[in-house]
Amino acid sequence: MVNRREFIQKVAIVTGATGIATFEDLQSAFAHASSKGLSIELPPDDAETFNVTCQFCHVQCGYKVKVWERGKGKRPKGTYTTPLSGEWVAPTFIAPAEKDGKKVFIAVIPDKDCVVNLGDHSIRGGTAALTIFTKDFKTFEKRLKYPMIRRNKNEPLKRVSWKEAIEFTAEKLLRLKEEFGPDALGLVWGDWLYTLPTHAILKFWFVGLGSSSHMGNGWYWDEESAGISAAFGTGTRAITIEDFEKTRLLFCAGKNLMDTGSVWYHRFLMNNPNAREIYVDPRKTQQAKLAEERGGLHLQIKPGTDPILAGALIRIIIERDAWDKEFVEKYVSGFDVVKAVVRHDKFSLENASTITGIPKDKILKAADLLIENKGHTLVTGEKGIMHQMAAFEAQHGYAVMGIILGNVGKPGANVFRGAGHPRGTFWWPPEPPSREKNEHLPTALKEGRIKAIWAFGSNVFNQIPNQRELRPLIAKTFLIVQDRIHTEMDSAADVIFPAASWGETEGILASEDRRIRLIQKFMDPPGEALPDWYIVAQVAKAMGLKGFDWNHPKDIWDEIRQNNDWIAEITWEMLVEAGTNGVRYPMKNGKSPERLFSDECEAILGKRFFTKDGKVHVEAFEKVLKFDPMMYEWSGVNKDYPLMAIDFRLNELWNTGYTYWFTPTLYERTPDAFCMIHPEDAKRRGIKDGDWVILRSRYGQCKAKAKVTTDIIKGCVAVPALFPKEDQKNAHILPDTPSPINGDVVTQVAVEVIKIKSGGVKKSKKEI
Amino acid sequence: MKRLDKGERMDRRSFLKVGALASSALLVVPSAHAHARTEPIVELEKIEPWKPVSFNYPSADEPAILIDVGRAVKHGVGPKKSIIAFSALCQHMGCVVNFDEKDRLLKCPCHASWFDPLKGGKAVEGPSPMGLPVIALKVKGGKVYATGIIEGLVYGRASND
Repeated sequence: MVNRREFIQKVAIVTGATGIATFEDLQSAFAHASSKGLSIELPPDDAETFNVTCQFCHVQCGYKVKVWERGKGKRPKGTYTTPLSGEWVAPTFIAPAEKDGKKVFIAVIPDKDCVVNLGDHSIRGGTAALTIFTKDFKTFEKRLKYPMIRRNKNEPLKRVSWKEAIEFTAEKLLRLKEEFGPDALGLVWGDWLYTLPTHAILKFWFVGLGSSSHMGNGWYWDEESAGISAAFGTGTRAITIEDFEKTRLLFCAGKNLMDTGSVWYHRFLMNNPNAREIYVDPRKTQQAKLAEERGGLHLQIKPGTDPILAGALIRIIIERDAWDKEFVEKYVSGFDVVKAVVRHDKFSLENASTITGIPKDKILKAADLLIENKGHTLVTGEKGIMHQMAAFEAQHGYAVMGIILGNVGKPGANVFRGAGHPRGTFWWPPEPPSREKNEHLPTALKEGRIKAIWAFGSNVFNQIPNQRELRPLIAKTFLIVQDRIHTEMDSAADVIFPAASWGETEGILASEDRRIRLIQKFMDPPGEALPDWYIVAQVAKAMGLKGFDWNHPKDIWDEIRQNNDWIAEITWEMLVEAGTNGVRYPMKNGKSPERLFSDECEAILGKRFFTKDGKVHVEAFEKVLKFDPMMYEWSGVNKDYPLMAIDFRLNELWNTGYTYWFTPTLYERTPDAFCMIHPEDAKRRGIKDGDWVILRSRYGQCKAKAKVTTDIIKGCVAVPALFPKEDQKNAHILPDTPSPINGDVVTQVAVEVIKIKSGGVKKSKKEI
Repeated sequence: MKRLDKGERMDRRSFLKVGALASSALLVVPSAHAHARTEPIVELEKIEPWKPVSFNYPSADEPAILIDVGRAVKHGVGPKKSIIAFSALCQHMGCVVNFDEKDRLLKCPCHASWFDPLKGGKAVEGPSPMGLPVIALKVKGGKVYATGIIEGLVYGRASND
């Protein structure tokens, strides 16, 4: 437990413009749930009930939201339910709030009847109630409630009416567009806010403004599935959650599924005890330990070497004549390319072991497992293999490995990109042709071509790498911040648009196993906050643009589905009726396949694969031939920057922390970023466990608390991604280099790690 | 997939894992009204560091665990203030946690929530949003007693009473 006094002295939490909320404040605000003699009130049978899905990850568990007047609920004595019933109401599921002038409780309870989670939840969804806007939690001070502008950069932000804020913004954007052209207007989007708000902003940006200057949360110019869509013609995830219970082998690379897609993994753990796992990760995580405990493998790979591992495994499979001949013969185009590539020496077992750092016997055992379970393996990879320069080669490499073994379109067997957040968009409006030469927003910023930035539900002072160089450039632009809470972006924003949060407006979210659900509105947004799509539409209209006359979220949904025949048949009414189980896509003639690339998929959609010729294409594997780790990040390692820093996700931290970072039960797990460092690397630098250290790269520095452990390989260090404390953000040390083939953000960088001498930790407000 | 009924959900392997620690506690039936009462657990001299003692609290159907963690901790009793106790029902979905001797963690066999006795039962891995409820202890006449719940809400309940 943290020493309270020490904690308050050192770690006051700055909440932007609104002052300080200390950990003690938060603890006492939450006291109702943790004090002696604790008892909570359960929803009465006649509580207002709403269907929602989680605001966080791609699994999209279903929840029931219950709202009732305080005092009118049930208070059973003793035990009222049994283990695994999905019926226990945990203290973290309940928030005291106000609705329609009454004091209420709002409970966000995992839906035991939702086919996705069956009452299960992760730590994220399980604390969703604590993200609700309520005066009973100190965190309400952080919420943005009123539009604010500053008419020039020297003035402070002041509250204005919506009319004034919209007109100010529209006028400014028009003037900038006129003077500098539409591409001078830049957009950063994609931390969340799917599906309706992203439609609004992308239509506004590409079609309305005609600007091609944009980037997302973690990518510059690709939808991050290039390695998958090269093969199948689509990056849409092909699985259904039940596949985790049917599979015999889970091959999971660069995806800490336990911490980032938890309930998918829970179902694998709980309901598939005989299945095994090959877990590829430079860190020995909980999932790594579980994989080995259950008879599988942790391949503790040197980051940035995945294409070599993929090639080596494929080579063994081919040498043993063990690929799925029928599948390859019937469906795969380009297998000869693969065979030719893996003949190269670099993919020999010997070389692969040397380069990847994985012992030969483990590579062989992995091949054994893959061959033994061909046709019954799930093959997936996510940020760990994508946020590196070899993003395409790694993603496509592992995909090909899965494909040639026939792990495609079967129960418990498929190749799919992991996932992070729910489905981003269902329709990509056509981008202006200038995009061809305008794919990298940081370059445009550095060349002075960007005059405005709209930070759309994305913390540009955390999500974007190379902060030392890019933050001042962003700050100089006309910065529109559309968000829910005060952040460090306040200091540079010219406009702040307060937006409605989860549950404060109707929304549509789709899981990455393709279930579309409606999020019902269960409370009003605070102050004058408005739905994101509505704000965009007002600005568009004020600029004289046509096509933004939506009056209701349903209007937007109808527009989206007109443009995508996978969802054209799915009406708003169907979604209302379907509740937390939702409606599956793609849908044709009222039917939806459980998985893509399957017999059923072909029967329903008339297509098994979505390439032009209907085959699975693996010719792009030739790009793996050119791959060499020294082409990329490892060439940056030298005596000044001798270690490779990677990042990872924390179970309890969703993206940059948004409205929920300050929930005590989450915050307590990891109050400060920690830097995993191998004992030998630590010793050489005089670093002991618990010491504060600085990570310094060519681009900047950040700090963390050293965690000396063999859970990270020698030569590498690891820090949490997107950590919400200012000087602990790894965005300060990262380059804005895109992965060359498909434009992903890169979060691997050469660093030195230096111990901060004692007494050197500044005790200033700016610390956080 | 067939939705297993409550009680069936625990597959055999998991059941065997929890068997060592739990008594009949897998199927917790709604018990009669139980007061926060004082219950004897074990003689002080029988307690050895890192050799947990299982008992039931607040009621006979609710597994709990007492551990001597070898050094002074918050709420600890005994000569070293090192003896603490927790509800052994996972705060995620109520399975009975097991003590892992090697890692010195309380681990749930269902969805891998791991709790650290040295951190007041806080969850350090996995989905549990809260730590294991902490049981108040007192030592009297060479015996350790449970006297109430200090922190948290025991799984399955709306009140610790």
